[in-house]
Amino acid sequence: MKQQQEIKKTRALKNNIYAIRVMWEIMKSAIINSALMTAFAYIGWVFYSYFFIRYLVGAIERSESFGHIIGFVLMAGGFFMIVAFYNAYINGAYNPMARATIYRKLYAKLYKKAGNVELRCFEDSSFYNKYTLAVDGADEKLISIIQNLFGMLFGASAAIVIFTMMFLTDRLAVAFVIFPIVGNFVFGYFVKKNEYNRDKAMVPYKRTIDYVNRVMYLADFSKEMRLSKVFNLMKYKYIKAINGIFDVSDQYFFRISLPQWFKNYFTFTIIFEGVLMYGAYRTIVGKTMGLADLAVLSSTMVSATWILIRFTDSVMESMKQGLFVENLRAFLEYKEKLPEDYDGILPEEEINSIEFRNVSFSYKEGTPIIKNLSFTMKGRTSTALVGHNGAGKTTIIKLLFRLYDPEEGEILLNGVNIKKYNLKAYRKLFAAAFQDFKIFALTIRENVMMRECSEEDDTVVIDALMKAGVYDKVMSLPKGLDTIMTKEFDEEGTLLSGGEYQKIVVARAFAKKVPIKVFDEPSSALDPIAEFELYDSIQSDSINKSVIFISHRLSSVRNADVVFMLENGNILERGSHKELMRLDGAYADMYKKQAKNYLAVDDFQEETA
Amino acid sequence: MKKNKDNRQKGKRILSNNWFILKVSFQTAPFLMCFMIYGAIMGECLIFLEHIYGIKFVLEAAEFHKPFILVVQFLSFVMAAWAFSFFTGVIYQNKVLQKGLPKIQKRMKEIMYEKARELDLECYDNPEYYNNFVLSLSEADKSITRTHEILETFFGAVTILITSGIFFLTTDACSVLFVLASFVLMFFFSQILNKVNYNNRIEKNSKERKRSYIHRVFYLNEYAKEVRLNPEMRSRLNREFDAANDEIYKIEKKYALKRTGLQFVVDYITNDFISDVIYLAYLVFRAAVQHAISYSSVVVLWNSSGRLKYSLGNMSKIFPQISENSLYIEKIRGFLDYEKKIVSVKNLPVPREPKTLELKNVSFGYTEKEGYILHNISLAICPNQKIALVGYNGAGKTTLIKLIMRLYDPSEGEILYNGVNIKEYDVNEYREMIGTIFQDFKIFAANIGDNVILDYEDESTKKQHELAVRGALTYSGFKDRLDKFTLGLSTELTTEFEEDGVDLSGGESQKLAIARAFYKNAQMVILDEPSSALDPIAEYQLNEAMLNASINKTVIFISHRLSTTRNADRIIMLEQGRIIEDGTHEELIRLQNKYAGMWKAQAGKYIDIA
Repeated sequence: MKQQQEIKKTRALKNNIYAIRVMWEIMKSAIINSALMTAFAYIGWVFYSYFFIRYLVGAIERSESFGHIIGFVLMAGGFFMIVAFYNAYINGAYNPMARATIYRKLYAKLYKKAGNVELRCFEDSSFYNKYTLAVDGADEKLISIIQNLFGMLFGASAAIVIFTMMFLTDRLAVAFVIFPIVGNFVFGYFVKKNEYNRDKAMVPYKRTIDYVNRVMYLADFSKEMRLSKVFNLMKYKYIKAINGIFDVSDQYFFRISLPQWFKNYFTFTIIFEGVLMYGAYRTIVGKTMGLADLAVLSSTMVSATWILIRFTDSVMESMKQGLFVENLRAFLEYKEKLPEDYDGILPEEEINSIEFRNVSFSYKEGTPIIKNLSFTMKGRTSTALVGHNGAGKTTIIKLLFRLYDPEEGEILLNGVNIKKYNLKAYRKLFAAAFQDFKIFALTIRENVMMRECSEEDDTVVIDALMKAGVYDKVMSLPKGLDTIMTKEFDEEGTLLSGGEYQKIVVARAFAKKVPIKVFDEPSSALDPIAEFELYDSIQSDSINKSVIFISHRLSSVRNADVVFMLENGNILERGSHKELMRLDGAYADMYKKQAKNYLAVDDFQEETA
Repeated sequence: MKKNKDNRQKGKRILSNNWFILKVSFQTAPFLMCFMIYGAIMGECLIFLEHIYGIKFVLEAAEFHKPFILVVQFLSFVMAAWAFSFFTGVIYQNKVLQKGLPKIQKRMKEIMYEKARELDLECYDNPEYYNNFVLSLSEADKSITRTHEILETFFGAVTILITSGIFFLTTDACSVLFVLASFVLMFFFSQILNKVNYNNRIEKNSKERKRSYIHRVFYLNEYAKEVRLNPEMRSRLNREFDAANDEIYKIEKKYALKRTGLQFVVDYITNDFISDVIYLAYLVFRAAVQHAISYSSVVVLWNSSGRLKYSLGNMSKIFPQISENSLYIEKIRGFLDYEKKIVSVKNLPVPREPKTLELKNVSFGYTEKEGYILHNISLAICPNQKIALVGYNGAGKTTLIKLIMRLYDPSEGEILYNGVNIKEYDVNEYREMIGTIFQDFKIFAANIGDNVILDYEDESTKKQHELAVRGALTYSGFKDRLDKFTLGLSTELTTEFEEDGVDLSGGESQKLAIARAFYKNAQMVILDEPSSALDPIAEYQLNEAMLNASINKTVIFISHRLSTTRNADRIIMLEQGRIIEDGTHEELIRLQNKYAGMWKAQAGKYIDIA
């Protein structure tokens, strides 16, 4: 048990050193200034509450000349004026600028790391939680850790100085310091522990309250709230949660109140009144203490108590911050399993084959999505992946892009395991339009090219937008291709409809001159006519190119060279549309069901045939 | 002159806003509030007794050789007073506050939730109102705490002012001038500093927003894939990030000199300099040269001048604090003052059987600026008819059904149910008659049973309804999934609260949502693209189930997949907010117009396998 504590302590120390090291790399002067500021603050405190008052009362008692005393007061004032000026400079000028620099350098570092870790990290909730805790307000947290660290260091020094002075003033008086120490550390410990447990016990109830609150204001729930009586259910949950909170606070009432009372009494009352009574006794009854010493004692005991309290707060704070440093460190020191800057050989421009060889993969252990999958795609052909929801279609694409590595088996491009390629160069072989697309708060031009670009790219951008069927819409906007998307950066930014956003995303795939293009349900937000036109564009764009597409709508995959019908992570049927229809298996069944309603209309058969 | 009047009115409003929260607090938890005020006064009185009066008492006892027993008596009294004060303090902290505060919060929430629930949906479309609404609900607890803190500060500061003020006036009246001078100067210069800082913040605002957007892109899961597949995007955003930081740095630099100066004046000149140099020199002069005050008084006056100044400072901050607090409360009150437009005019009872629904010349726009989305729609839907609404994105399909559900009232024209304007029915009863499944329906963090019932029912009522719930789930095709859960209807959904809560897939959630409409036994069922998340076969099965179960219901459904809508009794095609075609599938195909074109586009490729 004790050993464990020991380890914890060294770990805490190491974490603090780590935090300093990170800051040291970012900005050395920030550390030095933070140390100086804290040191001056404690020096001022100790000086005025002990030395200054001691001199003052002594001087008056000794009837020193007025000029003499004022000289001392002015000297002290002069020194602390310089300190005050330094503080003003740090707070008013240095810190705001330093903060901008720290933010920039620290986040550049964090973003770089975040961009380099494998995608899986973002989906692993325990990693992601740590990451969130490390990244949220990291700059402010790092700054306050450094401050706190010096607070502990100089706080402890100040406490030692002030105790020594008390001891020198009166050997017995210093014994009273034991009371705030016991109050703060012993009783304080019990208070903190029980408060922590109480808060923990309340968490589920507070979460319910937050949830109910969210349900009440989020637009997503607004229709259900009006069209059903679910409000009653929410109200019931809320009241239950409030009662839960009452129960918990009852449970902890004595456990917290009792040590809290003692903590307060020991930390403040006993030492204050005790020292005063003791000092008064020595002065009045024993006549062994001068008035000056009594005055000094009354002033130092107050400072001693508050320095101690500050010190305990700093220690507590440091423990809390330790968790942040721990997360920051775990994140920055994380060894990428699939680093984005992965180096290797450069792939050839011409794609002859893509092969999956006995590939297995799962997102969560125990629930495989892809099971022992093998297939080969030839270059310059079009391949369609079809199947039910959850059959593993999108996962195959993600594996192909090396967003994940397979758990078993290998993926080969032109006969070479894709792990051997330089990752960036490898990914440049592909262009993709996913259904869960994101639009960036940049111009339409940049949203299509997905890079820094200029008007020279316009021919490509316009061509892609035309193919995606959104060119007319874009041109109807006052700023055309320069229109900024979303209102994130710019109040003047433009919001488009879901279908229009999707078309812009599809244009990304059209714009890229790459050997392989992938379309993952590119029409999910489109109306039938737009969908029809889009598939026409994809088809004419993909002649003599490698194209992979995923679609629920089987009529749109009919022209693919090869169709893979997937089920439960494996290929059930493969072949051209005609072959699969002749096979009369799962694909044919699905196709017929979809076609059933359409087929009943014979009028069109003549026209389309 | 006029401006002055405005300000006064605003001042009145500020007070009334803060009073609004205090009133709710006092009404809900009067004991807590009185205890709170008592605590603030008691605490400050005792600190005065101990640190100012007490130290002076002891020092003077020593200086003027008073009997020790007086000191003992006095200090024992202080100790006893603290013992009592800490005793009431812990009771307040751990009992009165722990129970009273949630009670007040609950009362506030009740008032707000009742309002929120009845708020017209259009409030959600108005970003300004909606932001206020979100802020009101999410910040309500904080507003309460803030108001209480101000109340405590006020009583604390008044107590200090009275106790220390009297002490200063009786010990050395002139001293008050130093404290006042220091306070006035500090107040004046901090106002300037605050203004400078405020301008600085405003200037940085847009840059910080930019920074936080980039932060989100690098940080949120949903962008992670995109950023990996388009690494050049990263450098593009990095450039934006650097630019934002550069600009922030430049702004800070611009303010550096001004802020250093002001900070120095506020922190030192008006503060420490006056108390530690000027005031102290005065005290020493009074004691050492004039012998007008005792040494003890020098120590105590000097030590406690800070305290008096502090309380003056607190008093001066109260008005800015209540003004700021008032801004938040104003939002709450603005939200509570909203008068809903969708009201039951006559509270007529809704017919029990499906009746004819008729739209007469209905036009509608969400805002005046955007203009009408629906133009002059006239339409009669007979009982038990199956109606499909089709059309391009943005044609107004969803808006039309929102009008039918009376989530909005038409801008022009009227909607009749059984020949009566729907405004004349009790609005809740009217909505209760309709079962709706939206494209963006929500699953609640509750068990399966609750998610179907969507109401609070106690255990025994729930038991009675169990069969109906199970029936509804069976109709909607959820039964197979339900049978797999050992806890059955009590299975908790979502991982919001329960670690082992179940997250349903898109298709399963939809089936559950559809069961809600069956359970309600609605006369009219409205489906807004309920099958968009399903694959074709699941969609097919669902449609069969829907149609079979809805023989005695009027059904209106919206779908992009025309194969789904084909079997409807009537298909209504909308374009730009107008009905352009209306008839059965066969009729519309014969028309050879827009619907036929759309059908051809979708069906075309399936056709030649026959």
